[in-house]
Amino acid sequence: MHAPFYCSVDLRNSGFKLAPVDTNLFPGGFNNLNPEFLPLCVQAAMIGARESLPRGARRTAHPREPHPQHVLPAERGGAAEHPAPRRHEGAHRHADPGDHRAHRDRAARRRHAAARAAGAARAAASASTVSIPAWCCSTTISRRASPRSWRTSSNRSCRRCMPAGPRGCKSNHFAAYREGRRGVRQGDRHRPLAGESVFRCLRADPTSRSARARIVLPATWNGPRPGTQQIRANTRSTWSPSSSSRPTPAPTAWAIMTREGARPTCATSTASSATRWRW
Amino acid sequence: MVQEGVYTFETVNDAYAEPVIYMIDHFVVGGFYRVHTARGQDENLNAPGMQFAPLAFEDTCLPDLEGSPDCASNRFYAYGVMARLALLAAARELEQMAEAYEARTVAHSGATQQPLKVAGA
Repeated sequence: MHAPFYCSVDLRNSGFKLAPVDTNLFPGGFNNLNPEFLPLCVQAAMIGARESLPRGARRTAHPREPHPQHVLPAERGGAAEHPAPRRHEGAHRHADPGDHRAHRDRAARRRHAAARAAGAARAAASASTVSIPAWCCSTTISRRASPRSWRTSSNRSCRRCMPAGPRGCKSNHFAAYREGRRGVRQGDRHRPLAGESVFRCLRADPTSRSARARIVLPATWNGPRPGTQQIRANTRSTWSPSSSSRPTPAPTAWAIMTREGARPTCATSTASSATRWRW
Repeated sequence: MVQEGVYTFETVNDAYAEPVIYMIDHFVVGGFYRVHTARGQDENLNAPGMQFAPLAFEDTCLPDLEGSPDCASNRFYAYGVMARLALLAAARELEQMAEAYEARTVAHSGATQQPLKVAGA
């Protein structure tokens, strides 16, 4: 049985009996509620949306959506080179990875720079108002709309939506909210957005040790360490499988970022791997 | 109306009030008092001229086992329980409506599809 998404109930307390006298499934007057409980509204709305909305509608609230915008078919075809995201990179989460191909196309980035800036400004403006679409973390978690301090913070939950601490929720009555909060997928700040270099993502916060520690090199790696200029030179040089004297070629950035240990992927040609190592 | 059959004995600043509880998907997210200074305790307060006073859901929404049955936290907890019961009733009613609607549409489409099948065979 699905609960209605919204409900407001008028009650009457006559001392010896307490009865609901009016149930409204499309209530207004949310502005009269205590603003302290806006985070709880956010949690409840996200849980309710996840359970009741169809699957296609969920993607509009994708926290990892870098730049939600329409992509013209010509741009899709133009950006042919695209590293297929591995399973751990969330290939199953992206319903249509082709949507992100244009973000790797730098010409398309330049062409749409003004439109994207306008969109980011709109997102920032809508995030500051209290409306249901802006409640979701998708606007606040967007890098463009979020302050830089948020990105470098160790608190990965959205501050606007979920203020942790004593001002949030104290009682166990809202334990269900906190349970639901675990289910909310948060964007990992260590993971690159589509079309973004892994190391650019890491370098955004050079002081974070954990970010550096996430680079897991294979045990057999005897090449230069990432983050040095040698890698850049190495990946741009030609490499052939017959030349055994050379060190193991640099794995692609996607392979390095595996958490359970990277496998060096040498199957791709050097030219394409060189273009993947964008700094 | 049944609504006026239940008197309200709650007052806010000498005006009769009734609590309104808001929920989003079976979670109680807050509420307020609907106050009307010009209406009596046996009248509908949802009328022009009503005002809203925040319900003091400040600290906890758990029942206070030490407090009196009529203390604020216990009262608000009871309000939440009643609101959730009303939501449950609404959900059941919606489900029954959906079932009735589906039964009607299935019966209707079956009546139209049956001659098609006969024609195909």
